[in-house]
Amino acid sequence: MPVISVANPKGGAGKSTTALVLGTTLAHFGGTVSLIDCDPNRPIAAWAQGESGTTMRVISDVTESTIVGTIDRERGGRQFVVVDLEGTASRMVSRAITRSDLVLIPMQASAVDAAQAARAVDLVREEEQVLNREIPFRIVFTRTSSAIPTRNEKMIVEELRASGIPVLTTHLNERAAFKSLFTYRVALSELDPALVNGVPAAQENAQSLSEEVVELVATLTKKARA
Amino acid sequence: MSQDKKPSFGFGSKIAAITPSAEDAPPPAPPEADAVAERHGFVARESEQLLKIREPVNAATAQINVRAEVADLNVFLAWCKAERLSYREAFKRIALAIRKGAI
Repeated sequence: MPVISVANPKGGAGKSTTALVLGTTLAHFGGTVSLIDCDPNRPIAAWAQGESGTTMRVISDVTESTIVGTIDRERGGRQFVVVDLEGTASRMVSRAITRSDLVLIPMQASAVDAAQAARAVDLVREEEQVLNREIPFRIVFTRTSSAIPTRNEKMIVEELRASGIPVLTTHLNERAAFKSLFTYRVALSELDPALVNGVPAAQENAQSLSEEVVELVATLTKKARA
Repeated sequence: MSQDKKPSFGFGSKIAAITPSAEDAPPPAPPEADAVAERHGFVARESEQLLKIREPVNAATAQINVRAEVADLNVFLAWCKAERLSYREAFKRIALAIRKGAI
């Protein structure tokens, strides 16, 4: 506990960035973390070829047949299992969701992203009925402005809330430092502020997001064990 | 606030309170779960691979033809059948026995 899947059938929604930021931040603060890279392009596996000193374990080479076993094996030995899912609607995605304690659905504040995020939400809700258990999920807004929310963003957030779709308070803002993670293949705490702009603000953003997720997970665990 | 600082306002202790546990794993998903996913367009993207019964041999191989007496061949074939061995596995046992000096 907990298995946190990061899913949205749309590509470019910010899944790998969210998974990497969350995983490395939890590891930085002492958590034992496994990150399962299910994206066929293997962005996290490529990142792990860099020189990061993170303790986060990266696992790739998973298939539709092995994803369930891989998640269950890691769950027993690590505090956090983060699953970065592919940006397509596939059996790999649906099977990972059935093994998850929390599904994070990253999306940009756009109608296109919202439509695809809705597919993931619909799947989660119907799988809940088949599994006869709740699969908690939260929308995570990505690449939003850290300064002022756009009118479009406000409108989409309001629509989601009105539809009863839970949204994380913390957004993963548009920041050069998040993109630089994949360029320099290190964790946020290892980025050189002389080379990358806004590293401290990105670290603060990453910590806020991770804290919100950890608090949510703690609440969900307590509820599940009650 | 920098990540290089030690965990602030108890974040580290909040993380420490989360414990790994295989016991918390949900029960296996029933087969209908895949069908539900398919209805939402979450379909299998990987073609199913046929299982290979015969283990690949990681050594040089060659073939010999043997003209032997039928009675001897029958002894060999009956032994293979009784031990549920392929001819290759049976021959391997014979070769092993010769190497050990057992025969």
